[in-house]
Amino acid sequence: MLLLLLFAAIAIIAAILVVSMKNIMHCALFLALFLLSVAGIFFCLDADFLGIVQILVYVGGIIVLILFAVMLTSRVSSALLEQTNEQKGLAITACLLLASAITAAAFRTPLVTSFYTADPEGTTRSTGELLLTVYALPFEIASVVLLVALIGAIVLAGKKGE
Amino acid sequence: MIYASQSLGDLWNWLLQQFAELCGSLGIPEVIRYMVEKGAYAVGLLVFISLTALVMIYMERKVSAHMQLRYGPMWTGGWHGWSQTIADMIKLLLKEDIIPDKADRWVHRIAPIVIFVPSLIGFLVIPFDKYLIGADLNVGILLVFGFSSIAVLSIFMGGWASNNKYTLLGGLRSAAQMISYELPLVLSVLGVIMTVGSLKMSDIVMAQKDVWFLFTPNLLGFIIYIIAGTAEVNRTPFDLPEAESELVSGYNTEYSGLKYGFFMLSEFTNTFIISAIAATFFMGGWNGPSWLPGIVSFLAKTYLIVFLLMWFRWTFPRLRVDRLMDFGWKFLLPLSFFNILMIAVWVLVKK
Repeated sequence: MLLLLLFAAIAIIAAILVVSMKNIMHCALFLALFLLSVAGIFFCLDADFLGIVQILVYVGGIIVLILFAVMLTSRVSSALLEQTNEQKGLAITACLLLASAITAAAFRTPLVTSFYTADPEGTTRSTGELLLTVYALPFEIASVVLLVALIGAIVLAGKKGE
Repeated sequence: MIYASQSLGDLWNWLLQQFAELCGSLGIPEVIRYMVEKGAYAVGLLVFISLTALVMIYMERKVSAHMQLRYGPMWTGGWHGWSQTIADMIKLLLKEDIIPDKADRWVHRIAPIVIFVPSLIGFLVIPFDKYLIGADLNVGILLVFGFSSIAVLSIFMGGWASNNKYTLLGGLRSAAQMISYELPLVLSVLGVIMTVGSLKMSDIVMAQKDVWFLFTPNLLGFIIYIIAGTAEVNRTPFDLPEAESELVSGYNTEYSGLKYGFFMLSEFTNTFIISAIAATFFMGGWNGPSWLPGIVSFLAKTYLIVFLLMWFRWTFPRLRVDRLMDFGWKFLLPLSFFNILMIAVWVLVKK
């Protein structure tokens, strides 16, 4: 429980730093720290498979993609680089709506402190079985959406070379 | 009682039992017992890692030298220059630590730590012997791949923070390569996981009691694994990230002293981890002839793979960037998909 709170605290601090740092590279690195501490929270809740997938997909995949984009931009940190834009009112409204939705959802679901199962295989096997039986349709839809995104990216990138 | 024929794993298990009994009789709480046990294992692991790095650096120099009809280090310490690496390490420790003037100081400082810690965590799930494993987790193998993907972050950090175009290019190349080859690497191991039906390292070793997976249809997976693994640890023919003739030394050009030492050390520990997983997944891990202690047969197999990787390094020329990407995405990835399909059919037929 103590570890869980520690990871949660790191996650919150890192998340605040992501949006308040001046240098985009530092923002991206704090985002990585944030995602890692979320993985730590998953481990504390005995959801080992989810935690490792969090690291594998988010830190190993998405953060690296973001870093690629950041490294290829010429001016990473500069006083001229604007951190905010004109749409403050709209942004605040969206954030408040999202926050209230999350709070409502959080109060309605019971607090789970552990996903521990007696199954010696842990959560991996049951996750896999559920994905391919009960949740087969959402799983397949997600795959199709990703495939569409992949083809779209290839089409967009390919046109330039012609 | 312990006998000479028993292996290190049995000895460790026996010690643990004795310690548990001692704690029981003295009334020491469970938490402290657990922490002492894991702490002792961690200390042993750290000693092992440093020794392994020393041996591997010496081996690399000797293998490279003999492949090129040279002798390599011959003077330091007397017999065949055995203490050359120790002298080099002391030199690295004493060197001045330079941070470039225009570097991003903090990112530059943290990068060597970020690369070294994940490779330490990888060692936790490697089964050296029957009871000799840091943590026999349910997600065993995924832990290694998950944390090794963090190493990409460090290469980015080191390459970007040094504020040098060579390190930046080296970092970009390295990251692109590591992402591309991570896919075939993980997919090639999937064949073994499908055969065993578990991600646990101990289950995978136990499943190879009679026959190594190398001698089953998983052979194709082994070949893919070795190719992708060579790329993952940035060794020739896939050493573009640190191509000396083009990029000085790649992402670690601006590092000196102990920080450079960490980058170099993690390169060798990652090579060891890749080889150790190859030995565990395809060559039976600590299974071996009964008269040989498990750890000896495990280390023999691992060092065989290490030697293979060194052999590659000193005999193959370097690939070009576009060919490297083409090979990874257009050949290795489809081949590993085919491997999964083939293993699935084989598993079904065997049932």
